[in-house]
Amino acid sequence: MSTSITNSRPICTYPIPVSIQSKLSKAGFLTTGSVVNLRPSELSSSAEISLEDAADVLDLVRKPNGLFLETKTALEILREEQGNCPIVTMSQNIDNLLNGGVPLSKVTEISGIAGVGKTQLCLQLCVTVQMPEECGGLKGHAVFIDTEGSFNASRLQDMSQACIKHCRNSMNLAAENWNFASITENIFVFRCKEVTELLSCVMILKEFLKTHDQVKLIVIDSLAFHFRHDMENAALRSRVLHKIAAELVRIAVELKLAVVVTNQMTTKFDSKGQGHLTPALGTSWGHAPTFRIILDWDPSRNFRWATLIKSSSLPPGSAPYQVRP
Amino acid sequence: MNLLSESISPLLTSDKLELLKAHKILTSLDFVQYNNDKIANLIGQNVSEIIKIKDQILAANNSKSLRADKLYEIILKRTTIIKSGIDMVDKMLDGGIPSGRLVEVFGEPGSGKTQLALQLTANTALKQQQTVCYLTTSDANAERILEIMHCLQEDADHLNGLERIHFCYVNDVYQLMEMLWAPGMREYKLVVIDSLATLFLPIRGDSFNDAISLLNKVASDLKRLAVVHQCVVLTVNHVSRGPAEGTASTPTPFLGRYWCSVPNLTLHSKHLSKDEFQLTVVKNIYSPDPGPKCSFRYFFRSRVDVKNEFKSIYPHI
Repeated sequence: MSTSITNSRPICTYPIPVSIQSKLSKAGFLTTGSVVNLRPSELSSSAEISLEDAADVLDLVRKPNGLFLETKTALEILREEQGNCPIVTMSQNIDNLLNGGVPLSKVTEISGIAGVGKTQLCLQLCVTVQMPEECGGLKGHAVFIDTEGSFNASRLQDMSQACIKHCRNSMNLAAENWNFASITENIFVFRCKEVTELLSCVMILKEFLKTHDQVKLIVIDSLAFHFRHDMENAALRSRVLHKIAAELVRIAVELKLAVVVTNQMTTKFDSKGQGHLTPALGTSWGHAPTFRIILDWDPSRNFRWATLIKSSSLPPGSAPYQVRP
Repeated sequence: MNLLSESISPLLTSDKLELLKAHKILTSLDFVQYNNDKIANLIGQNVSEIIKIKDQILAANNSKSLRADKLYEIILKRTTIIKSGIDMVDKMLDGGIPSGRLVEVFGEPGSGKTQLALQLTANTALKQQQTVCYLTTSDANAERILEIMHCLQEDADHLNGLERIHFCYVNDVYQLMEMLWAPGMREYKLVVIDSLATLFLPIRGDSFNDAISLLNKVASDLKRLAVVHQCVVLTVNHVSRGPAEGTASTPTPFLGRYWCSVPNLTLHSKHLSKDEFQLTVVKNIYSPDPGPKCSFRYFFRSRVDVKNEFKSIYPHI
């Protein structure tokens, strides 16, 4: 019974290039059942496609439903998730808002107006991800993809020194190995000057991560920059943006690391002509990250607010925080 | 629709099949449509033999008719009603969603679509003890499901409920189709696809891929899944653009005009204020009342309590 169902599966549901699909359908091969018992040479001559293409098609079609075996029960996922330690942000309020910190295996978006401190938060995360486990860190490395040229090594130095001091004081940790030099060694910075560089960087990230398997955090600062300046064609921009989003989600889930993306703000006008600030890149993009945070100044300008506007598991809320040297 | 071969009739020997192929008669559909006399001349058979072969093909491919009362009995036996566990929502849906329906929920980002999907999943797995398949494009939120289960019923067997939910990450449309055609799908009473729109975003507007025909195929596969396997298929969709200035109408869902006619039940989800969410029935082909809505809250508990409580109840996880 199951084979007859699989045999009546249309060939067009397989990821076969359109040119080959049209040749196959012209030759009358419309369902899996019609090709599954053929040899590559027979298929190649009947459908007038090359031998390699015929072999590829048959491989695809004959694959046992291996994908189905990749389901996991919720219980297994829960067990895995319990072992996942989030990356602390060194601000108690923000950590409480996010139930512990920036979560692993998920994409988090941080938006805010220019100058509110998105890059600061990203640099902070690059440092805290490297904290030893005794201090609540992950002892992991970080990848920083810089599109605006905002990576600031001297600020990084301040933050690392503060973090090291905090760990030494609170945990009495000797940690001779953990100093500024080792922190900077474990942050990999990619500078992307245009959209194509950004796209290629994200696409080859998986290869890079194979050789650097201690990476636990990927930061893109900022994703919006090139898309807002370089790309005129809106349809192409949307496709590229979502391709990047899909790849980031795939990396986050498969390799169990945290992906943080920063976004700029844009003005949206409602029916009364009133403008209000919303994260840029559009509503379609808004569905891609699992967690979305907006950073903003408090009207008194003494401290800032972090607001959780979208999350899959946490109630929305706001947390005040400060940036200290 | 099969290729013509000797198995259909002993009269169709291989040289005759070659002759037919040369005239582009390759599948049984082509054969049945072609003129009887022309085929008879082509392969040197009597017209009556050709008619016999055609009848054979038609009989083999015919769908069997079923008496309506027998069909009704079958449906009664196999139907399950999927409930959400939130009273207001279930009341609005007249008790729940019966199996065999394709449901869509759409809304802006952060409007509670995934929450509804998780709520239905948790309730179905826990209270109705049915298996659920959750195909996700972004994340699999097991902790949230456990939280919902706790809020639904404190002292039930949550771990067993969790085992009945199967998560699967799908990254593109072809993976989704692979899952839909997998023979194991018949076991599930609820299949959730969160979200369908994300799968089509990278290929929309790209003439190379013809996203529209892919969407058609997915739509027909989803319908087939719901009707043949008698389960509920819930798809999550995005919005294409917000409502036009000043109008109170609902925004348009993302996947296009054709898709709007596919689901049996369409719900629009909206986030009203801090805790309040609103669900509006935009389309329901089984009900005469237009657009009932209801506002409600999803269950959330304080984060710190939840973590500690889970650690104490399930120390071995």
